[in-house]
Amino acid sequence: MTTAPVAAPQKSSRMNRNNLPTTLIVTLIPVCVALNIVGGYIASALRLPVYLDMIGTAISAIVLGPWWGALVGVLTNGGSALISGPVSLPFALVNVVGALIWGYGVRSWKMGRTIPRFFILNVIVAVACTIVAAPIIVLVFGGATGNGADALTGTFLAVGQNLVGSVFSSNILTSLADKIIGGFVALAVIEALPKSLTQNIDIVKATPLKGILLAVAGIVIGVLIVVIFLAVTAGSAAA
Amino acid sequence: MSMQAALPIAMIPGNSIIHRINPLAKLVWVVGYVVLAFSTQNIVILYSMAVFAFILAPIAGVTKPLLKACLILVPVGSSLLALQIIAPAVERPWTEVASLGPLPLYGDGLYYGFVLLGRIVASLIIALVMVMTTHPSDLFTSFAKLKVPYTLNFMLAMTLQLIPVFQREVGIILSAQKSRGMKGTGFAAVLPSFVPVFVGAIERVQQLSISLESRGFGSNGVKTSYRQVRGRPSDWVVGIVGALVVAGLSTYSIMRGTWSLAGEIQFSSVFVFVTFLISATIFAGIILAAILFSFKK
Repeated sequence: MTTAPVAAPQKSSRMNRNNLPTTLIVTLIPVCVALNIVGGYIASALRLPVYLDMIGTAISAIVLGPWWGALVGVLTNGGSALISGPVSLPFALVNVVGALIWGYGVRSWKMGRTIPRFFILNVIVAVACTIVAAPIIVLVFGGATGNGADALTGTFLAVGQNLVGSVFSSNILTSLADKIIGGFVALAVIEALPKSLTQNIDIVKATPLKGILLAVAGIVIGVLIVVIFLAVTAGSAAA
Repeated sequence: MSMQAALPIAMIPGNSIIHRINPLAKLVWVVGYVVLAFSTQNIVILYSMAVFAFILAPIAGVTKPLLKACLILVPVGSSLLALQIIAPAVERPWTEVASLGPLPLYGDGLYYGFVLLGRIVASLIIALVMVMTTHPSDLFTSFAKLKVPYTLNFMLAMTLQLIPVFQREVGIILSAQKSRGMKGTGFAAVLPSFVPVFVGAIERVQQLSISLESRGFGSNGVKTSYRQVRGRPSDWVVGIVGALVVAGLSTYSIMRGTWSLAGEIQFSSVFVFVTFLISATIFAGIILAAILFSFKK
C-alpha cells in the first residue's frame, strides 16, 4: 500500500507569526488591558505599596510579542482615559517602553532564560520606565503623583535637588519594586497558561516570590542610599 | 471581600439633554478641552472651563457620582500644590514670598500649581461627564463612523466590559482565599490572588476566541451595528460651536505666548504660606491614613 504525499500544512491567513489564531489575539489583548487596569485595584485591595498595573503588558509582550504588548499599553491608557480622564494618556509611552523591553528582552535577547537574567531585565524595564515617566510627571502633574512617593520627592526638593531629579529619584524607587514584582507575577501567570500559548517562548520557570521580595528590598534600599547621597551632594553644590 | 473602590466607568442612565447629544459632538468638546487646557496658562480660562464642565453635571443628573469620582483629585491636587510652591516647574528666577524654616516658598510656584491643577480638573470633569452620559456602544459605533478599525473598537469595548467582571472575580477569589485561612493582604497574597484571576481570564479567552471564529469575526465585508447613532442638526451645532470656541481660544492663547497671568496675579505671602500648609497637611494626612490603614487588621 502506498500513501499519498502529504502537503506541508499551509499557514492560515487567520494565523499570525505566533501561530495563534487572530481571534485569540483579538480577545487576549482586551483581557491583558483589563487586567492592567484591575491590577492596580487588586494592589490597593491587598494594601500593597506598589501599582502592579503593567502585568498584562508584560504577559502580552512576552507571550504575543513586543508590539502586541505595546498595543496593550496604548489601549490601557486609552481605556484609563475613558475612566479617569485624558491626563493619563501621556503615560501610554511608559507602558509602550515597558512592553518593548519585556518583549524584545525575553524573545530576542533571551533574557528570560535564567532567574538572574530575568531579574536584570525587570531592573532595565524599571529604569527605562522611570526615564520616560519622570518628565511626563513633571510636565503634566508638576511632579506630583498623589501617592507616597511624593513625600520622597518633597524631601529631595527640601535638601536642594531640582524638581526633575527629585521626581526621578522617588520614581525609580517605586518603579524598581513595581516592575520587578510585576515581572515575576507575570512569570508565574505565564507558567500557568495553556502550553499552546507558551510553547515557543524560551523562559525560565517561576520562582517563589519570597526570595524576589528580599532581593527587591535590597535593591530599593541600595538605590535609596544612592539617591539620598546624590540629593545631599546636589543640595550642597547648589548652596 | 469587596473591592475598596469600584472603577467609576459606568454610564449613568438618563434622558437629559447631555445624554441625548451625539457622542462625537461630546468627543469634540473633550478633545477641545484637552487642547485648550494644554495651550494656555491662563487660570481664569482654565477654572472657567472647569466650572462650565461642572455645570453640565446637574443638567445631566450626574453630580453625585461625578463628585465621588473627583475625590481622586484630592491627593494629586494637594501634593501638586505643595511641591510646586517649594519647586516650581517653570524657569528661574523664582520669587520667594515666604519661608517655612529653611524651606523657601515661591509665589510663581503657586500660580503654576494652580495652572497644572486647573488643566487636570477641567479635563477630568468634562471627560467624566461624557463617560457618565454616553452609552459605551454608542461611543464605539461613533468611532466606527470615524473609520476606526473595528478590531480596535472591539478590543476597547471588550476591555470596558471585562473590567467589572474581573473586579467581581478578584473579590470572589480573595474571599475564597480568606475563608481557607490564607492571608488576604500583603505580598503573601499576591500570587494566590493574581494567578487565578489572570489564568481564569485567559482560559475564558480561548472560549471567546472560538465563539468569535464561529461567527466569522475575521471575515471581510461591511460590519453592521445593533445600535444606531444618528447625528441631528443640534449635534452638529454643539460640535461646531465647541470646535470654534476651542480653536479660537487656543490660537489666541498661543499668540499671546500661553496667556499666562503670572505677572498680573500676585499672591500674598500669607496666602502662599497658608496654601502650602493646608496642601502639605492634607497630603501628609492621606499618606498617614494609608499607612495606618495598611497596618489595620
